[in-house]
Amino acid sequence: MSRVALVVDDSTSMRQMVSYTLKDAGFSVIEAGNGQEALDKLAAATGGKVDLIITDLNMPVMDGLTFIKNARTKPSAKFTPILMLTTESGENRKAEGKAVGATGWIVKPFQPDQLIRVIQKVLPA
Amino acid sequence: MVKILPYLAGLGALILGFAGQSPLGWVVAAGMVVAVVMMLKQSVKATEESSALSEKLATASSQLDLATQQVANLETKLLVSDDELERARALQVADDATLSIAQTESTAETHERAKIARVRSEELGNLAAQVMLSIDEAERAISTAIESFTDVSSEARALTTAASSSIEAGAESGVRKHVATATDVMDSFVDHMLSTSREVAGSALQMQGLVEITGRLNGLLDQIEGVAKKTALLSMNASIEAARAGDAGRGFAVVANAVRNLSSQSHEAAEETRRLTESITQQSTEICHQLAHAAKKSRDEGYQAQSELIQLLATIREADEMSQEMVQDLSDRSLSISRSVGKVVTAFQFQDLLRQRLEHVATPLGQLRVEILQEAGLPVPEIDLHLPDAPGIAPFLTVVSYAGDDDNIELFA
Repeated sequence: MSRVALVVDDSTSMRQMVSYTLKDAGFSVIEAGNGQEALDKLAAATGGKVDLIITDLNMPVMDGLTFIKNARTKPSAKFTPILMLTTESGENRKAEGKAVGATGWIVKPFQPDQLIRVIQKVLPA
Repeated sequence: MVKILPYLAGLGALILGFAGQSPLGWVVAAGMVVAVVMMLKQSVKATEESSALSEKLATASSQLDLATQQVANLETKLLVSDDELERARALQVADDATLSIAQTESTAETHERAKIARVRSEELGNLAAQVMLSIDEAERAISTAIESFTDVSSEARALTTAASSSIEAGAESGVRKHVATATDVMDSFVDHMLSTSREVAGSALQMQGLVEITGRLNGLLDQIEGVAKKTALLSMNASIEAARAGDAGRGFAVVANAVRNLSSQSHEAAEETRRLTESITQQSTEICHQLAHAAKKSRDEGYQAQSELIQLLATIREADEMSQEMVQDLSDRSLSISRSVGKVVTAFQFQDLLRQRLEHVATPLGQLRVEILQEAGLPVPEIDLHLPDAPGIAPFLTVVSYAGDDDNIELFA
């Protein structure tokens, strides 16, 4: 049974690119357009659990930091690796991400191989 | 009487003077005429009072002058007052008109400003909408392109898998295995043909041996024929000797005759045997030649077939290797396509950066639109613009020049 990843980004094309990379690595992918939708999808996932979350920072309705803060309150997502994938690279923002419970911070653009390497580090087989 | 003439003249002049001035002058003049008439009546009666009257007249004249002056002053004042009043009224009217004009102008200007504000607001709204529309269109275009590229990548990966399977299958049970089997079979066949050829050649040699033996038989036949000739000669001599012996030799003549017959039969048998031997030799030689030819032909054809088969198998093996190389090349190219799509995925992320930058253009446009409408006191209609706040985006050129290292990644402890 393949592992499940939740991809959160308000850009359709970005979700496609991340999903393509993850599916190529053997993941099943759930997509969400903002933080609130991601929380809903997370609740609806099998056992309320996914193996990996990759989220954008700036999104309408609910941004990535708020989403992570909310997700970390769910027992099923308490220890799930969550990678921020954003255009922002400021240290203050990274500190905010770390504070709310992000596992790592990737500045766009990413390379598919690179993303897979990072995932292998945070999510051992 | 004579004394008052100058007064009368002066009075007349005054009357005329007053009369020419104004209605008040006429009133004064009339009063003065009455006074003069009364004075003329009194002058006849009271000459003594003339001086007093003259004084009174002088006083009156003085007072009249004063009054006239006052009237004149008053008139002047009245005139001035009228002018001022008129001017003031005019000024008031002008002020009112100016105020009215100003108010009109102000209202017109306000309306004009509101109109401009509305137009500018609409323009800004249109600009913001166009920016958002461009973002959506670019997003859709990029999305479609990514879909196509990922399809290509999937096809390439499927091709790679198929090629790999083909390589493995080719190694296990493909052409190479059949070529090896065919080579074995052909080697066996050629060996068999060569063996047969050798056997045939052996038979030819044996047949040659038979011919030689037959040749030796001819020698024996020569000896037999020699014996037969000698026996015939002996029998002839014996017959002569028997005839010479007479009756005593009759029995011997019979024997001699029998010996001659035997000699003749031996000769015929020898000849028949020679004929048969020659026939055997001839046929054996012929068979020997045929066998030798067959052996040579068999050997040559065997070698030729082996050579051709070796060449054919070499060609097949070469084709198989070429096929394997092509499959490998196909596999490599498919992998290359897949990697290229990965690079495309990286490059296409400019759309996300571009989208956020355009949204940053649309945000102030929308805010400017709201401010203009509020400044003009106009209602602010809602427009559906998704405008997230995303400060601190890295410069685009810096981002796209990303070299592939991991500087863009940080894992938190």
